Amino acid sequence: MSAPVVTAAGAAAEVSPMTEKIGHLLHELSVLPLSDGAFSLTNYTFWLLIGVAAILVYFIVASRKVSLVPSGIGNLTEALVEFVRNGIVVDVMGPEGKKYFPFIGTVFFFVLFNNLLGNIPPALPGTGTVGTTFTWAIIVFIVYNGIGIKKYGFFGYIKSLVPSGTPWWLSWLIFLIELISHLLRPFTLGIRLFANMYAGHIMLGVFTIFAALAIEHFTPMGAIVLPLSFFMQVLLRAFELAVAVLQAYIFTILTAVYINGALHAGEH
Amino acid sequence: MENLGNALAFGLGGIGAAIGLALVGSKTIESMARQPEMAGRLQTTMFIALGMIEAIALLGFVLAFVL
Amino acid sequence: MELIIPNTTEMWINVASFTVLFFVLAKFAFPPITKMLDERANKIRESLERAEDTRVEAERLLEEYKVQMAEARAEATQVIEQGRKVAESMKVEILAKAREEAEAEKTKAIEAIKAEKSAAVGEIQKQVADLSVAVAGKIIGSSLSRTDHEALIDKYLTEVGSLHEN
Repeated sequence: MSAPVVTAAGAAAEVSPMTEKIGHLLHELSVLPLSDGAFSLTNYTFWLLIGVAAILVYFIVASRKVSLVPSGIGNLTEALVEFVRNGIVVDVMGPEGKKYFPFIGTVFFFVLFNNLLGNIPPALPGTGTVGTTFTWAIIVFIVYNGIGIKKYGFFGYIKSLVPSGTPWWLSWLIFLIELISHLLRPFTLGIRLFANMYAGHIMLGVFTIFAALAIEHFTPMGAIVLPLSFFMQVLLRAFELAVAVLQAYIFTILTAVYINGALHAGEH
Repeated sequence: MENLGNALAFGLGGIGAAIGLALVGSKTIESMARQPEMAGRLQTTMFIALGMIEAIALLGFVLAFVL
Repeated sequence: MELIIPNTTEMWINVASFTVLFFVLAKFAFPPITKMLDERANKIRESLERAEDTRVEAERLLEEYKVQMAEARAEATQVIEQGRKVAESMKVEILAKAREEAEAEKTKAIEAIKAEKSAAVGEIQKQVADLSVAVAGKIIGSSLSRTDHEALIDKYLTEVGSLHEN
């Protein structure tokens, strides 16, 4: 990190190449429309649509390849589906949760495919923008509250936010707290996924900038920085792959937990 | 000065989350070692807890950019 | 701040992608896969159950065969034992019969010999008497009355006969 800083200190008056490049990176990673117009794709939604198309193609091909004796692509698909169904849905909600698998599975595969797509260099993760993550978090919010309302009725569900047997003067306070915590759920759900993907790409970009600057302004310090940042780049790629899967898992498991909470809202 | 504020927002937010993550991780490993047959459920619960804690650190991260 | 204000276009595109994804996956992709998984789970469970049933059945049959085998062996031993008993009794019977028959044969033979002997003795007596008369007549040259001679011969023969019978 020190080499570019030294360069920056040398040219304090003008904008340093480091600041300029990071500003450029942040600009690249921000939501940019691909063309002018009222309803144009942004750089994130372009890759998002590719990701969605990849999911559709993959599953339409894979669902024809599954057979009683598993093989090839069918094996992988079965492992993934079995992981979501048993590792997430049944684990969190019990066997009766299986009927919510299509929704939870859709969420999981959307997030997983888009996260992983973002790790192929020219691509941006479709989930690296708040437009995507907040929308999906709000969909999850609507779905889990819808399930709760469908089960207990609107007023029954509202009432179930407050544990029965609370004195009236306390119940308003608890109701307010519960309401805020429920309203915060889509926000934290969306922010978590967005921040992980966005931060990961910023880190990758920053180390790429270090390497690029070390090559551009070749100094003895740069000779140390270059291999280090290259090594970090490789390490971060691996870390990002793990994060992509882990965040898909966390997003999905929290969805399952919220639905489970709505289903058992009247039990406490 | 402004950048320092951003870095502090993220850094200080990260301290609490780091302590939380460490606690969750160590306790989960401890519990898994004690009851290996419960490992699956413990892992699920651990990830839920990790997700909750992480959200706090990430709020700091977002705040650092927003400020 | 603009970082966490969602872009409206993106949101609508996401809503559209969720709708398309959910309906395509839930309608066409997941059902065959989950059905397949359930089917396989059922098949494996059934196979295991069937294997268990077969094993139990095999064990039952083996047990049955063992019992049957033991029964058959016992029966065979019994039959052999019975056969031996029958043979034993038959042997005794046959032996007794044979002995009896042999005894009867022997007595018959002895009787026949006795009869033969007495007949022969009678014949010899007669011939001896006749011969003696003829010889005596020749020697003496006179004819003794037949009754006198017979009395003499009888006396002589009784002596000889008693000798012979000893």
